[in-house]
Amino acid sequence: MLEQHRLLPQMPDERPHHSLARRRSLYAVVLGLLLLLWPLGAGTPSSGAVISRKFQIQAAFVFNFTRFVTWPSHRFAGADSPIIIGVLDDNPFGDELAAIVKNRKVGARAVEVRMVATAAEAGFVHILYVGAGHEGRMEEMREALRAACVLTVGESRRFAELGGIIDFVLDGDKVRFEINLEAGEDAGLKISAQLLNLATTVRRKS
Amino acid sequence: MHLVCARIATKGRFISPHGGTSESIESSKLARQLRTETSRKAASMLLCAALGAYASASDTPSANPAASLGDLSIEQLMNEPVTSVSKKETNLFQSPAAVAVVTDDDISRMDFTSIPEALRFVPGVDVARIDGSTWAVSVRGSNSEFANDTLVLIDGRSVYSTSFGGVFWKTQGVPMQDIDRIEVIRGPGSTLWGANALNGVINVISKSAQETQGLLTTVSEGTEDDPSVTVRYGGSAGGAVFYRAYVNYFNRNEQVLPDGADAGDFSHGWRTGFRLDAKPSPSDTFTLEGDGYDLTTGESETVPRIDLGENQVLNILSGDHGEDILGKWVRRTSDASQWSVQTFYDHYHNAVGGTQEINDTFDVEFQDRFPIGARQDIVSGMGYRFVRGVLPPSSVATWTPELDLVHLYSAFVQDQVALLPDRLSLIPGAKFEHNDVTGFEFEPGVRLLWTPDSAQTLWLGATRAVRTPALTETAARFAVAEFPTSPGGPPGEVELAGNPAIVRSEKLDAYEAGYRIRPTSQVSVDVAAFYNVYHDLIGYAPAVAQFVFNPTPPHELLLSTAEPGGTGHSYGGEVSVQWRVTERWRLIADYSLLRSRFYPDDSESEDSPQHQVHLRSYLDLPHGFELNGALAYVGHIVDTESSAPQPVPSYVRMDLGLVWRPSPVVEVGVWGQNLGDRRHLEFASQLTPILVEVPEEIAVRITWKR
Repeated sequence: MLEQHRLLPQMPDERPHHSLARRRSLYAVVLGLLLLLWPLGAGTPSSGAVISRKFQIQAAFVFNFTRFVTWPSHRFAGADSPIIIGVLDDNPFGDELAAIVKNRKVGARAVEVRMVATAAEAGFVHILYVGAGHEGRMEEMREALRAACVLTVGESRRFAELGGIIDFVLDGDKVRFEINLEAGEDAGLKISAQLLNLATTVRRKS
Repeated sequence: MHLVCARIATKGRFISPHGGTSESIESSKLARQLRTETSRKAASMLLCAALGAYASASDTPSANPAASLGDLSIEQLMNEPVTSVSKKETNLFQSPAAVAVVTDDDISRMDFTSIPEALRFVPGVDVARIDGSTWAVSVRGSNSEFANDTLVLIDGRSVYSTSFGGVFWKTQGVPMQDIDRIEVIRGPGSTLWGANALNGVINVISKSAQETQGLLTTVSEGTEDDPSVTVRYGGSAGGAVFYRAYVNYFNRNEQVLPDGADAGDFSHGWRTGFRLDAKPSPSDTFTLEGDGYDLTTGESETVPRIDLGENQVLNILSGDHGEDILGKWVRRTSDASQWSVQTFYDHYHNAVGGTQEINDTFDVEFQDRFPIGARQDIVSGMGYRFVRGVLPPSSVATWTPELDLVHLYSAFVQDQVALLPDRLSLIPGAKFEHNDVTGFEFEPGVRLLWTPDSAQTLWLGATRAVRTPALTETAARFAVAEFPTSPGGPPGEVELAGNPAIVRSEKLDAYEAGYRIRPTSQVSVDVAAFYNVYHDLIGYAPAVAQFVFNPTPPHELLLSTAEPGGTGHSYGGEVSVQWRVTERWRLIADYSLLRSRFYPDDSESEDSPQHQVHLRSYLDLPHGFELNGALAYVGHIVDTESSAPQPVPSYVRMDLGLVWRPSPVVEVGVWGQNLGDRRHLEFASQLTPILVEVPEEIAVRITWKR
């Protein structure tokens, strides 16, 4: 009564051999490639200006800030005059910042990037990025920047101490920013509540 | 008995009268379904939270090239890692594998309320709601309630059941607000994650405690979630120590049966958890996190009763509870190197389909990443896992043995070799594992990555992956159904038996290719294709009929036993397009194709749709409004063997949501899901013949944070 019926055809016998062969060939390919390529490790270091990820992200932030800050109307010739981002002395962004602002508009305004070396030039920009090490130069231009309602953006403790408005800080591996609202208001800038809300700290008038 | 056999052989089906409805089940199909259903034992995979060329794609959604960085919002930028785990900064666009990411933005825009919901619009993923709390989720085919070819990790903790071969989705309840992203790798992830990462890997990654500071309260109320309330608080213990804790209560209403009656599949329960992140020094990161849950679910259980000559359908309450804790220490040793140690312990007591499992898993792993010269980037690691499963007998299942102890040892290495710096890379790698069931496993793979410029990526891959047999396939015996042999004849019973002689893993050789292009800064296109060859597949042989006297009454036993040696292949691909139409409007569309065939019975795969189309639209409106919508077409599930009509027809699903953020503190959203469709079937569970349909759903969600 325990008669058994196998209703299914048996597996063909050659299948295991087939899979073994396949496995062997795959292994051979992998091992071969590994051996072949090992010596490449001693190759030359890659060249070319690779912009660090930090600055790529900072560049995107700087562009984004244009949407959350309102300049006094006298800073623009017209409703579609461009917003100008200046980079002080030394450009850490390579072409990244220019690439980001290209073809992107904030409302009706295009965004342009310019290098800034003098206080006079600084008076033409809306945002000025002050890289680490250039805070002293910013201090020289301080009055001109304030008068021209320039949003200063930097990335150092010193920058913050010298009255910079938005200061990038590195929080682990993430880029965050602090806002000196007092300095911003002094410069006649309106910084949106949304941006203030995202800042890790906001220094207000005491 | 010959009669019975003849019937099975010729008609290939039998009638199982059931709760008044006559279900036509075809025996070998049923058996095969159960093979997918059932599964798993022994070893599992080693989770590698983050590494390797595409795992880092993976760990770092980031490294969008400049063109796309400019598209990110400030909130998104704040989540972009400066130093990706991969110093190479491989990113999604430049990863040498088919990868898609569900971001926290997607989750909030679409009001995804569970991980499976969030996976609905990922190309190549088949998500089907079986009932209110159970899901079938698989990548690239072979879907079932326990889809054993898809590995799932939550913050590096594997939640793939080591006994059933699959995931208990109902117990995976990470609060959606805490999820940073879900990374879905289509195709094998075996060289890093090891066994059971056969067709895909799903990585759920939660936000750090630092990113979830303050008090957050979310209340969802709707026709199904009635209600779900989450309260989360995040604070700082001074210095660089951040923590958060949450508690969630939810109550989910019943879905509907085809005749419109309530399906009895309600669920309610509590979940709670915490996470602590500390950075005692710039080079060290510690994470400690844990969760606990206690759920009650209404469930229909089908118990074959030969003594009564019928299949009894019992509405039962099933309880699930579990706890897990995970610790991780990452030490960055230089700009290009780091190591990490991770350990977790997971305990659960889960119930499914009239059977249950009490499981303890302990896992520890070490990973190391370092460069060799300027052209090679090595990721390596080793790990150990111990699994202890207790499987008590129930009215539908018995296990021999009832205690399952598994030791899994593993090691892996992967090398990313720059053949041409920043242009062409070769990525060989392999994982070595030893488990108590199948012994040594070797899973090698190689990928080639070509990035001719920042707007194009081409990749190729060849990988060997394995799936270890599930306990259901080696040690379980399931009573499936009672059937009448003939009018007035003895009763009959169909049973499925695991086979302890199965000592080999299922194997897959996967060949993949992909291409991504960003023709303009507004558009990006991702195409991936695969050809999978499976062997040593485990399936249930057609039933063998016997007449048995024990247990009484004497009855016909149709016993189907798990057998190794099946083969199969599948091919297909996915195309997805993201289009930023304007600054405020984004469209995302994708199409997935899947064809598969399994031998020896030469059947089409019956478990996943051949065609899927998804379309999403994200529109930002003035005054803090957001209008988001989605359309999905999910093809019918092919079932060439059954002479019955297609069990799961195709369906179209439409979701629409309006979100309003009047201030940074408050967010109000209204969503409609399955709009315009009173109800539809998404999947036919293999554990019960009861079909539960997914109804139209309306929900309101209010989030308050400060």
